[in-house]
Amino acid sequence: MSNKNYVLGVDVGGTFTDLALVRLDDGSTIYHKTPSTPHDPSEAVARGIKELLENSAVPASAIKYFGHGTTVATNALIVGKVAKTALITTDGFRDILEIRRQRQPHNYDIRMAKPTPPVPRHLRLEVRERTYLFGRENIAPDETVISSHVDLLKAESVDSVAICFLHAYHNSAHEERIADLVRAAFPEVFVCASHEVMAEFREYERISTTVLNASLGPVMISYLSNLEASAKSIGVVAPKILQSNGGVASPREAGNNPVRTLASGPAAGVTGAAHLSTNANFPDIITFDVGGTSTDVCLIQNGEALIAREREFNGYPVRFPMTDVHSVGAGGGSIAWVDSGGFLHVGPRSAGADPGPACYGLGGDEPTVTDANVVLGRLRQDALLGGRMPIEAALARNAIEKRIARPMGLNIEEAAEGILTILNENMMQAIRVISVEQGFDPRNFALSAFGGAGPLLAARLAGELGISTILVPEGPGLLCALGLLVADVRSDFSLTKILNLTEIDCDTVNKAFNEIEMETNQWFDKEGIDSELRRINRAVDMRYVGQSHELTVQVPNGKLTAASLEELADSFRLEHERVYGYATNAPLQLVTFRSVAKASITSPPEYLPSKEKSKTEEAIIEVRPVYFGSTGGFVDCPVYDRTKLAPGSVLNGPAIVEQMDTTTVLPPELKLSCDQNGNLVITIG
Amino acid sequence: MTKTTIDQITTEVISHRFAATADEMMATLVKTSYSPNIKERRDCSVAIFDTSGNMVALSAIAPLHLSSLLGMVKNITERHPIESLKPGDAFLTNDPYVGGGSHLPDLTLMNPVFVENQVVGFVANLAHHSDIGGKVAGSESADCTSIFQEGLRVPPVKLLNEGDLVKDVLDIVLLNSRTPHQREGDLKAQIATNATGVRRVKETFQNFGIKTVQSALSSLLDYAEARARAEISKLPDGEYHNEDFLDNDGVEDKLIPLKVAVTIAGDEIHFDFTGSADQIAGARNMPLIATQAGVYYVVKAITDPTLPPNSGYFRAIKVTAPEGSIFNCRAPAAVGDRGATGNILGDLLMGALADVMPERVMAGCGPLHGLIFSGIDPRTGEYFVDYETYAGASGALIDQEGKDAVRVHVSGAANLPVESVEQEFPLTVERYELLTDTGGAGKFRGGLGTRRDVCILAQSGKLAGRGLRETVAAPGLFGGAKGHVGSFFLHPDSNHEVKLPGSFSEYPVDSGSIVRVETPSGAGYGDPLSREPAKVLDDVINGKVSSAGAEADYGVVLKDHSVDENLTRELRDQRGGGYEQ
Repeated sequence: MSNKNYVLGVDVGGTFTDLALVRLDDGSTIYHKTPSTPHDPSEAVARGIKELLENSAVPASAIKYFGHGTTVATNALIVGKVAKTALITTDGFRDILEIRRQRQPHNYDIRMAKPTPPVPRHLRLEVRERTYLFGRENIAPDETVISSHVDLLKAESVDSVAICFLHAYHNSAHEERIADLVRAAFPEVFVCASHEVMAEFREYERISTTVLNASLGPVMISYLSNLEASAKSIGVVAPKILQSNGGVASPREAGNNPVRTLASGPAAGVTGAAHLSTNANFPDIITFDVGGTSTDVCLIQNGEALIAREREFNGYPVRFPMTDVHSVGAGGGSIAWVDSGGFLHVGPRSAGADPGPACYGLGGDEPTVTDANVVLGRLRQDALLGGRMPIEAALARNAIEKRIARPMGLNIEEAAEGILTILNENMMQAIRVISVEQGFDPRNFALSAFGGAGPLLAARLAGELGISTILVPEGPGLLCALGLLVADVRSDFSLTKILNLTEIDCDTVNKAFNEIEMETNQWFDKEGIDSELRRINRAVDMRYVGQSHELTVQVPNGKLTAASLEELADSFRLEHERVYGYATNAPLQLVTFRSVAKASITSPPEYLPSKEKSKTEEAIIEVRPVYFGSTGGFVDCPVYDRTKLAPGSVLNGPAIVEQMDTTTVLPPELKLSCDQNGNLVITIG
Repeated sequence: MTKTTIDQITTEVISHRFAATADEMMATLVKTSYSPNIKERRDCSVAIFDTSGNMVALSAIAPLHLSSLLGMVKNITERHPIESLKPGDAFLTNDPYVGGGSHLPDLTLMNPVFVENQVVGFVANLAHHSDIGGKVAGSESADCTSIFQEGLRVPPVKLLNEGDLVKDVLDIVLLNSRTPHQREGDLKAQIATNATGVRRVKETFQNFGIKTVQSALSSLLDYAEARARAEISKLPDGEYHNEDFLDNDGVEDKLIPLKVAVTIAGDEIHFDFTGSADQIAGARNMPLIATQAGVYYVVKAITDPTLPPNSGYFRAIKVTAPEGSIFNCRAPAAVGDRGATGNILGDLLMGALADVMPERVMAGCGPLHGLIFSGIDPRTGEYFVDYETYAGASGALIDQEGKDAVRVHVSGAANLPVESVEQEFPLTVERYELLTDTGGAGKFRGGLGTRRDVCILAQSGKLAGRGLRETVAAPGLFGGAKGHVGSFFLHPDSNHEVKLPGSFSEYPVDSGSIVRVETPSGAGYGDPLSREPAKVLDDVINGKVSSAGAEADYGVVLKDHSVDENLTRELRDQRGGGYEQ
């Protein structure tokens, strides 16, 4: 048996399943792509693994680690192929899920309908029970209705049941009791209770999260059990599943908590980018991932992606920590158009792959961002995607002239430049949302540009935001694979206990952390993580008494003292000052206790540059005219083949660097150097 | 030629920067404020103005705030000439008669923005404070008969003088509020919000130059105007009328007529409210700017919901209402509950335009019901005020059901989570649910109203309530049935149940009392007898319509969970309705 010198990453996308096999001792990577199989995505995974192992002549037993990213849960929600789900909730409150927060879907668009509730009204059943916080006696759950409820659920052929009672974050006993009864009476169904899924206050958000989790549980479990069986038959180790928080978990964990994978799609790339940038000594970055239809941005501080607590899926909120990736509907395929008042807009409509940008010649006659880049000479004039997609530059010019330049009274290049200007504004706004609106100054971050169009657009964006360094990692495929391979095993635990800081002592706080850490350690045990690998990060959400918006403050491990509580208060005030620009000495509340469990279970590959590379000038493919607004027109610009640029090479703008899956634009006066890790590093100013 | 249009791209870039600034200000305000009213319910807005007082950017949840800030620059600079302003100044106001506000709880803070020693514009934010004094806790009661009963009137006064807090002014505000601690926190958030706004607006002027930005802002207003006019041109010319009623004037039980004549001529649209009631005794009067906001909302909703919210689009719209009337009240008329009338105004205008644009309007809506709980919290011994609003529902559209349990027309605030209410106040919520059979019947059904039962556990508890469409139900369209009316009850389902009126205040309640709110529902659109029976069946399965309701309101007979085709046809024929769609 060979030694375990390989790690395997498999990322399932809508069209293709991407695989990467990385050799640990030299970082060499073999990529493989196979068509996805939407009816059972595990088929493509199994087939892809077999093909990849055969092609590379690596035995299955040499694989040390198998990281897996899947959008099974996300897709199931989008296409509505979820389990038939029922809700059991507190008497008098079954409609919370449908009343929501009583807002209209849109203030002015009266035709926009409310999203369909994930559980219809007749499957939302009530149980008389109640937990009160003060003033009234709790009411124990009325167990006598369960058998008739279960009969109804059986008659309706329900696959899954969510249980959510008011204040279950505070008192989980009622949910536990009813969950036990339902599980005993109806063992075939998937059952989850809100205190297990998300033990935080705000009932609508908790019910929604629990119900979505229930509707995805059976889907995810069936997928993962197929996948595990395939992995076993091939002889590779069991997979670890990437979650939205950027960490991985066992199939058992992911199957029970599918909502935790809903935003995992962009998390792999972000995690990979964070790893690469940290290695390149840029631990504070903003990722800028531009695809065909959308752009994802995420802020990474000290190598850790910022975490969002809530996001909507299909119009319903899911509250769970997730990599805070903000998306805008603007990318390479976004269509530019002029409105009735004569203003230029870019997106949110996209030409997609079919008909695609006008220059593809597939019948699209609306100009896109790609067409603008062709007109300006920034993209090759004859073919894209390393020659696989032939294009006609004249079609791009025609579309821009007809739809943009003429109506606006501009020449074609000005119109193309205008498209990129407006696009740039959309992207700046996306970055403002994750930086300035959260109290971060983008000038203190580097920009990590990837995706098909990220490196095309990064220089201008960075310049406008005052960002002085851009990193262009080697390739988007690598980032995702890397993300899957370097991710920690991770789970997030939370517990709402609202306590006035002036009324408690450190014992109360120690007790709360002990309670949550007991749960955390039980999880570590179940996941089979050795005790020396276990890391726990504590935090607590705090607010001023009377506020209803909390800020998360990190808490040191170990036993807290009275002095630690003082430090907590100070940390909160500092954070409040940083985020909101002011702080007061008003009384404070602790709201939600948090614990993040992490363990590194795989070592990242050693990166060794793969082959000898040529001298810088030998990497030039051609010299072509490229338009730069700053120089007022076209200038002759050398175009380099990225694969031939050696580490240490330095380029002065203007220059273009091409590779199969993206193009990097280096405007005049900027400098680019190739670092030892395969990144292009652009320096501005 | 190309020169001017290149400037147009710059104009657009500048417009993006101002919109981004408004968004960032809104994010700051919502996050930093103290009271649930602003944080959870988002009853607040922010705006940016040029030096002439034109609104150039706005971020607002509630459409009623569309114009709440419009008069402000003029009112402030009348008292404080623009030459006398200094960097770091901030003006506080709330008064509808001298400050450009629309009711007293909306405290507005406005700062001039200085670049190169000159004022280049203003940033402002408005936040609905949950108590600003006056005769009732929560400072909003339909039965107030003078603005002097509604709370502290603040003319435009300096809250910050060259960056320094004017503590005397703050102290006056705090002393007049029942919940001073929250007021202080909310005002701090408002100060921080404008600081963000000033910084960003300044950056934009500095980056592009004062002249360029000023010219861009002026083009931006022209652009919005052009788009609004283009939309209005598409509407058929003519004069359209409608009439609706308020249940009462907040004091006496008598119907209050509301009338509108809408004239569309080319690219202009004129709303004339002549013939509506004179200003009323109670607090449901609307200052003209609130009436304008209601009109601007309707125009946006029925033409193009993406019209940019700036003063340019308002130029294409003319609003007239006789001075001293309910839509253009004079001091000292009470205005606290002007939003209630604003919601009926939405129905009034949509109804007026229904015949000419049946595919764009909605049937009558069930507006919110509001309750204010106050008393002594037994846990702390401190006075508390909980200001809450409960959604009614929207009316049906030509091809869509009305939305159940949503805020309608000009109002947009969220509810408070039950689990937040029970933490923060000595209250428990005992039920919160949709009301079966309340949606107005129609080919498309109106949205369902809600029921919420709240138990008050406070000492010296007091209630104030207000709600419209308790007598005059939301009108249906094209044969659709009216919505159901709303109600307040005390001690519901008991032998001492009391039905409370549609507006009341200072109503004493014992600890342990339960108050029930049933909100009014939306009206139907089209003949209920032409509703697809399968849809009626679906409503019955989901408990939105009862079997009895299916038969009575829709002529649909159900048997064993399915439609009895024959009996349904018979019943519908008997009633003379069409069985076809």
